[in-house]
Amino acid sequence: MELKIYHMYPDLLNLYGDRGNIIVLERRSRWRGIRVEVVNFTREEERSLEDADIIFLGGGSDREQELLYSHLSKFKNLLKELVEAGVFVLAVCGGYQLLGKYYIDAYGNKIEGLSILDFYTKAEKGRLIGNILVETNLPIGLKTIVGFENHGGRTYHDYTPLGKVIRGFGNNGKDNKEGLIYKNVIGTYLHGPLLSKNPHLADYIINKALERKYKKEISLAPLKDYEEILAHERVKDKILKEGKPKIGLSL
Amino acid sequence: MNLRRFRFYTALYAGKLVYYLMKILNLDATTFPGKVALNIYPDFLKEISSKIKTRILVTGTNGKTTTNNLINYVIKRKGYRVIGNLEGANLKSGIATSYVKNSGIFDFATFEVDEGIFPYVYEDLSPHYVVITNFFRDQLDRYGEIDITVNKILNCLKENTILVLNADDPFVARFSKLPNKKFFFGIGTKIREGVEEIKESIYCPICGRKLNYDFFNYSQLGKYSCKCGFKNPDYDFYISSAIFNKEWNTEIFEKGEKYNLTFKYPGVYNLYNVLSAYSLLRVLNFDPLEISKFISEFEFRLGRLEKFIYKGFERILVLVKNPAGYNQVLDTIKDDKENKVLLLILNDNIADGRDVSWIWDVDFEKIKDLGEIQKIVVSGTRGEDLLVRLKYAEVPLEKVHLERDLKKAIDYSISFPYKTYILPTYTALFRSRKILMRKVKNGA
Repeated sequence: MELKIYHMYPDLLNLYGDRGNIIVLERRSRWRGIRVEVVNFTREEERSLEDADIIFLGGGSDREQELLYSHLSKFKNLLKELVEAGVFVLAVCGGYQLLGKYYIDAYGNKIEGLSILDFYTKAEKGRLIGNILVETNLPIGLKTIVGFENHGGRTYHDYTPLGKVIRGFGNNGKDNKEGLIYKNVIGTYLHGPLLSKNPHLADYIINKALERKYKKEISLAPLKDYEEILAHERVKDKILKEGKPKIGLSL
Repeated sequence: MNLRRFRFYTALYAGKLVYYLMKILNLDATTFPGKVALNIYPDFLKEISSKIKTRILVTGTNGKTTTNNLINYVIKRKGYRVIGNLEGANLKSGIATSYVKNSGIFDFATFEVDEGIFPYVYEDLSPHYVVITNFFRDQLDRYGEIDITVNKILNCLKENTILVLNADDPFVARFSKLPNKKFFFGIGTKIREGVEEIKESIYCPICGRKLNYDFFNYSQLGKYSCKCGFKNPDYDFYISSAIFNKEWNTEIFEKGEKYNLTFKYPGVYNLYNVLSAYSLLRVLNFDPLEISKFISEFEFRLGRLEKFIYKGFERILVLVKNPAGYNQVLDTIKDDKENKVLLLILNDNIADGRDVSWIWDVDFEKIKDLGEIQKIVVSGTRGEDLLVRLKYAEVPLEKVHLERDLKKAIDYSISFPYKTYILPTYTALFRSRKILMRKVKNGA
């Protein structure tokens, strides 16, 4: 079996070690004998996207996101079709916000999003920074997801969330929801990188991508996740001890 | 005595009292005494700036501590009265502490300043000279994004400040648009041969196009140009070749003249550090031969390739705090062909950056073949994260050992009959250093 992962704008959407998610997906597939091709999708080297099994969008600085938006918006309709067709999309932080309709920045300017999904994000006072613990309803072994969030934007939507916030802020710090799930799209604010300490979530993505591609039920060979779970548990303990987080200073 | 002076001296002596108490208790007194002084008198830094004739600030992401120490050392060797925050405590409290423990009238001050708070310190100290080393992604969870940091510094600078700038960093080159008197330094050649993997493209700060690079020397530092005309500013001080053989041997060019220079510490990043210090000292009009002599005699302490000898083997302490610096240190370790043990320590306290995901931007894949590395020990409040990172870099896990307790981790890593490299993040540095020094002193 094989998978094709598109890493969208790795040169621009490259904050907070999010490329680690690609490393985790690639290694966990390869360790099971699944061949993986990682394709870098950049402004200079446009690709078709149509043969993607997994599309990864990380977060970038405001300036970098501005630089790529006009390029990415050309692929808006195609992306929407792929999402409807069940291609796996993992979008983190700025990448997550891009999937929505618009973003209202700190000065009240409305910045257009890709409108792949029907939601919006609004900058509000104070940054939401810190370790975060989420409980998910996804059918995966461990029910907790850990990560680190750092965002000024608050996202509001009526989709199924990735999970319920146990500690931390999540989408907006108000409705206890973190992230979003729609078909095979996961949007989330979690860095860490996300998949490094949540191997069960990484496997969920690999599994879903393979099942769509090969149109059959697939059960992945289990891996020894001793180190990942150790790290997961350590940070979980830490989060539970830290108590309720405080909103950080605005920049 | 007027009220201002009264408050200043109250703050100063309260700070001194706290400083001596902390010293007696053997506590790390690099920031708290200054914090006390600033609490009593918030304009404390403004007041001390009137007691220092020439004020120099060093800022940027990497290399501040080394550059600042070099500058301070040469000025001191010249016989001037000079003060500085040499231990790397570079927030307001650290700068205030350096004055609290050593008050008086000075010819020079050399302070390194955290890039995130630079505008506030700049305002208080109104320096005559500012050195900017480079800007890399560092501890982003405190400051948001690199562009914001750069712009804040750019916007706060007043016209009469003389700038000494790294021409090889496109982020620093943005400062060339300022009307200030400016001096640029750089390395006009590729120093380390071999493949340089650069993960991120760098975009032109003027027009947003991708920059063309002739070569990279260290992260995004190198020779670059853009279709719109943006390129490395012309050098006032530069290096065109350098060889490392137990120490750096190089020549620095300036206005057609050239001066030999040697420096003990490896890594291209140290070449940049020495070049930035040299440039500033030349801008101060110090004699080039004297600068070179003093620089060659400079010995560094405090966890920047600081060497201890324990049981006949070198134990080398190197601070790591961001991917660019970490990759440089891994290169230096790989170049060292002796057998060795690595101790990697990752903490997630505020001063380290609470978000540890940056370790995924470090190319640990470089060391997956181990070479002369006999063992890798991981520790710190987030040692498990390092363990996972090494697993995914496909380092053989039977050679990796997790030890949560820092003291035990140090004991274990120096128990081998090999050289040890100890790589702590900021808050682990001082404790590691203390533990090591005690070991060395006791000898067993």
